[in-house]
Amino acid sequence: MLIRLHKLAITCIPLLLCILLCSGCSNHNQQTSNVINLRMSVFGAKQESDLANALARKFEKTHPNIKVNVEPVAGTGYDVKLIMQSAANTLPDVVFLTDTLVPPFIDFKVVRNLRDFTDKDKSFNLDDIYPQMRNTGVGKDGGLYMLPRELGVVVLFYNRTLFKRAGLPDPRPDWNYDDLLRIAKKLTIKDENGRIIQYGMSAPYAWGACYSAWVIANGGSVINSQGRSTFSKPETLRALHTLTDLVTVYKVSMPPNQSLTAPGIDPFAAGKVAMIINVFPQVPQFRATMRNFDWDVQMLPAGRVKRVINIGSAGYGISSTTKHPQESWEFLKYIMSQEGQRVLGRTGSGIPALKSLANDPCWRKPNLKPHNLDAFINSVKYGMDWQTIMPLTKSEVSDAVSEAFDKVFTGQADVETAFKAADIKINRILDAESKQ
Amino acid sequence: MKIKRRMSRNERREALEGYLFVLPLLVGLVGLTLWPVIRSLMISFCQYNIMNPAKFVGGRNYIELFHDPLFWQSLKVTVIYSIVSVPLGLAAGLAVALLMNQKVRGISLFRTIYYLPAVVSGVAVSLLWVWIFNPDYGLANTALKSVGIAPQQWLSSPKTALGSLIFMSLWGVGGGMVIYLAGLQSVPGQLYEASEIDGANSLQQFRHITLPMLTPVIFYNLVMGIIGSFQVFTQAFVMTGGGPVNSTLFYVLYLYKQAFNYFHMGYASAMAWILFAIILVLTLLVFKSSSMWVYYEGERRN
Repeated sequence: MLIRLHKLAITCIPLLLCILLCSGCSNHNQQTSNVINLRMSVFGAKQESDLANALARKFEKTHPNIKVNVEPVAGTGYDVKLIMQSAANTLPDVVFLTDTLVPPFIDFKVVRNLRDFTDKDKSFNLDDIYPQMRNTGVGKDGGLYMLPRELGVVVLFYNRTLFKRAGLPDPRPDWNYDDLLRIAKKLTIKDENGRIIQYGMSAPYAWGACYSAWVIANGGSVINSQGRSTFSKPETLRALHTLTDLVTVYKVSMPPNQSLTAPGIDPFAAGKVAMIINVFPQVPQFRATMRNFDWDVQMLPAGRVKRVINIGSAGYGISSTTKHPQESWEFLKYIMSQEGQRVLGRTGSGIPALKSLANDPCWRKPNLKPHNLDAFINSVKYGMDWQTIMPLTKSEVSDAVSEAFDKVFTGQADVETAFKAADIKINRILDAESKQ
Repeated sequence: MKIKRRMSRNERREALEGYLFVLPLLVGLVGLTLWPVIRSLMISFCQYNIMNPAKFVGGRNYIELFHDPLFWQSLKVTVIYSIVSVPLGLAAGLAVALLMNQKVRGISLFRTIYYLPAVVSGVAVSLLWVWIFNPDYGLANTALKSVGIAPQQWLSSPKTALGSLIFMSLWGVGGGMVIYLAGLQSVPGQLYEASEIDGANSLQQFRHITLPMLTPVIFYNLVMGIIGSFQVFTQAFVMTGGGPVNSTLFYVLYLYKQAFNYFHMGYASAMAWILFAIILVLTLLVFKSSSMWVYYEGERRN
């Protein structure tokens, strides 16, 4: 008996191992009768998967023949994962993406053009989406690759408690760069040893959504109509100075390598920084952590030349290889319906992208901060043309820009040297790309 | 006369079973190691972004590499790191091992404590050290302050970032320590007894007995240290992202960026093969030199 078992084991174990090895490849696609399973990939943050699951469950109620499985991608490699899935032909059906992911996801054939649906489907009203937001989902070829789910504008968050302590009134909607500098100086506080313990402001300087609009508002430009970098132009360098001087000359804005707080604690939420440049999805975090402070939002100040505000969005697309394009479109349509958009609005992590919901109570909550929600809606009309800065969102280019800012902030080079070097580098990258 | 012997039924069966058992490993080795290695060599001569079919470009990736300032920067960072951290790690590992070799009550507890950091995951360790290096709240600056030294910027300044990571590499000495400890315990006790009778003090004992007897272990730790230090990735990826101003742009981090941020797969593959050549040459050099300084038991020197 024992010997027989031994023989059985000898033949079975390797066989089992092989089966185990192979079984990993073929376990999705078990479809029962007429139910269609849609796979949807979302960015790994809990906020994202909660929203996607909420949308999916509601959608399934009215579409009993479709089931949506949400696949969160953990970590920072969301784009890499989707691009690899595209190469391996294992893409999900519905794909979460952001404005900056639109160009690479087109290049790597992750998402498909949605114009076939938006043109044909009369029940879908594309015109209700803010045109500036719609524009963020458009590719170089004019196709629409992402339906933007939210109104994304860059605004200024300010700590009203710190303003009051300094005897300052709230910033007015018509304020400008000089007002910002004046206020920031008053809000920068040193201790008896001359060490700064509170900064007037801080900004994500090297973030495309921060510096590009800032440069244009102050008379510079970042890219010309031929798609070449203009970082070395004198007017651009002057405009960059208005941003970097806040850190290096006036010392009223917090350098990017400092924090004044322990790791993981937001300096603005901790009251160590009085003003920050940020976006609406930060609101839930500040609502939860800033209980000891009164705070609000205001439109970004006008620059030396004009007011330009960076806009952007996140949204959803349909994968290039889906076997269920129609069902995926139905789901996308639901997400972009008033009902679906209200689900987003209620989470507090995004402003609906539909003009018709601009005053909807789903996201306007009078009992909660911030109160000046019109700042978001009013900023849209100053929104810069997303398409013009699209080439700068390429990760190689944004790395070159970050390097230049790093050099300036660590004192390794002045603005002129750093950005003239970046200019050469960026144009070389863009040239290499166009040659491919 | 040759006798051709046929395999008996049982022998054939046994052979078949043997192959069946190693099959999963063989499939893995060929499919998941050997094939990717060959592919990466092929891709290193191509322009390839994983979407479009690879285009043969000859040695262009290799030529471009030599004109890429960031390639030289990443090589410089990695070489500096290796030159400093490998000897430092060897010495520190040996020093800790000598301490842990004392006959003190509860020594196994100390050994465990010193070895523990070496088994913690690299990402967790990195996140821990981000805290330690925090300029305002970190342990490092608090310690400096208590002895009256001005606080440092650590990872935030291009001048100190690489040094900070080298300092942090000492965290892993426990791994080398265990191997040294094993070596120390196999040094025959009678050598020490004999030298004591001859009147040697402990420093002489260390210099003329312990160190020579440990050379095979030092040799092993040196080779592994070189290979490991040229492949440093996690710390820089998690803690600094290569910055500030590329001061911690390690070779493998730059390779990763080229491959998975810029999708220059050919370029990244070329980098990988150059790294392989560097490590191979260094390892061979160390092996060649071993006859001069590594002592094996049973070996006679003339």
